Amino acid sequence: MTRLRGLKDLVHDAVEQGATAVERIHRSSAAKPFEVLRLIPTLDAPVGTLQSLHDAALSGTYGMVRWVNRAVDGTLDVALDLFEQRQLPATDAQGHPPKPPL
Amino acid sequence: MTTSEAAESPDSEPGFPVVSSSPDEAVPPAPPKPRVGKVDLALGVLNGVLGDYLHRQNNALATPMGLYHEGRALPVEREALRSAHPHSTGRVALWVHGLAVTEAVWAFPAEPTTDYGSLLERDAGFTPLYLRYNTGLHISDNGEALAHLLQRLVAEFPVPITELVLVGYSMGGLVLRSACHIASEACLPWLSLVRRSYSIGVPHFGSPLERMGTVVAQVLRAVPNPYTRLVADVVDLRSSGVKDLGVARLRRQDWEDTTSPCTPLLPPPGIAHHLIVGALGEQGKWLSAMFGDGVVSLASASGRTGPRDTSPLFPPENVKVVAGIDHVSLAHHAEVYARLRESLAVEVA
Repeated sequence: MTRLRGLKDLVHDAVEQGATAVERIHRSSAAKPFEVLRLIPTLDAPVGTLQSLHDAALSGTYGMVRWVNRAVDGTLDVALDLFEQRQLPATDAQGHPPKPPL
Repeated sequence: MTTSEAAESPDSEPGFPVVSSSPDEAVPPAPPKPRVGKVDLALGVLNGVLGDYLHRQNNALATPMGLYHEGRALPVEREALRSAHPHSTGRVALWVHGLAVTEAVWAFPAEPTTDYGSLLERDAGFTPLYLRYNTGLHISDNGEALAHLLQRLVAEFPVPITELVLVGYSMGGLVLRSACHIASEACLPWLSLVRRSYSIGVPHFGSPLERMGTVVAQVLRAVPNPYTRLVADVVDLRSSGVKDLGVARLRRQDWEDTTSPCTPLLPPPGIAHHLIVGALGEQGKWLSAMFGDGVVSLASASGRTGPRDTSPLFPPENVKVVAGIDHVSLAHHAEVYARLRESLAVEVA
């Protein structure tokens, strides 16, 4: 079970850091055409607005990926906790575990 | 010489699993199962690549250092050790594996329950103890942990240890050298029990493959492109243990300050160091000279900085080159075992 938790944590970290790395590249690549278009004086203002919208959408999308990742991680934590509790031996009325058979 | 040939040679007792050839038996017996499961093998690889990260994150997939017996953790406690080795005579051999593997690397592929340790126990009476550790951690960290583990082992072993033979394969040999250095500085008494140590394919002066990885990462990072930088980030993900292998950083100060050159750590005195070196081709041929055993160069595995080094770390007469063998096979090859056994026999005589 501890290994399963470890695997879950590793996948969570990989998605979190992978999404951040891809977002950085996506933002950097998308900035190039905007930079070129903004060299035209008449397009500077509208392209600037468009880039802001694009960047906001980008942050929202990758932020959503990270949010879902955290939600799945939290849900799996609860599920694993419940599973572990069910694996524990039943207790008697005083809360003591049953005695092993002789 | 194959493992079976080694077992059948006149000067050795047959010790490998024997298959009954009775004509009455319709169903052939199942081949022996490996002692280490596939999950553990996968974790060995994961620890080699990301072990330091897993350790920092307190991830349960990080392998804690410990002794293992038949694929299971063996607590360093008197009763557990007695139960695992009831017939121990106090002559102990510690087997330390290399990067991104587990103690399963010692097992002969055709006979997974047989390894150098079990053969040496049969032939020379050395109780085998197998170490498993997180190969992604710094070599010095593993060396420090091993030095203290051996201290506990000497105190807890059910019979007084009279001799401790250290055998390291690949990175394992560097971990052993680091542990000996720490034991020497801290005056840990277990070091006085070590009279012989064996290095099998150990990159005493680093591995050119890792140095190539460092150069590739630097080149990719220098290119002003987000994609190549991402690839450089991925290349740089490799663990501290892997990075230490580049120039064999055995002490903490070696990796804390990488700006100054890493001075070689002299082996502790009073120990006979034996080196077994693999070579892809015949000794002296270009293939061996260029690639060594495919991972470690001949010079590095022989404890020399280069082919013309006149002051090697270890006595040249203790270096044995096994021709026609690659790095991985060094951990489970009948010819390597023959050299080990021969060397131990000479020492005993």
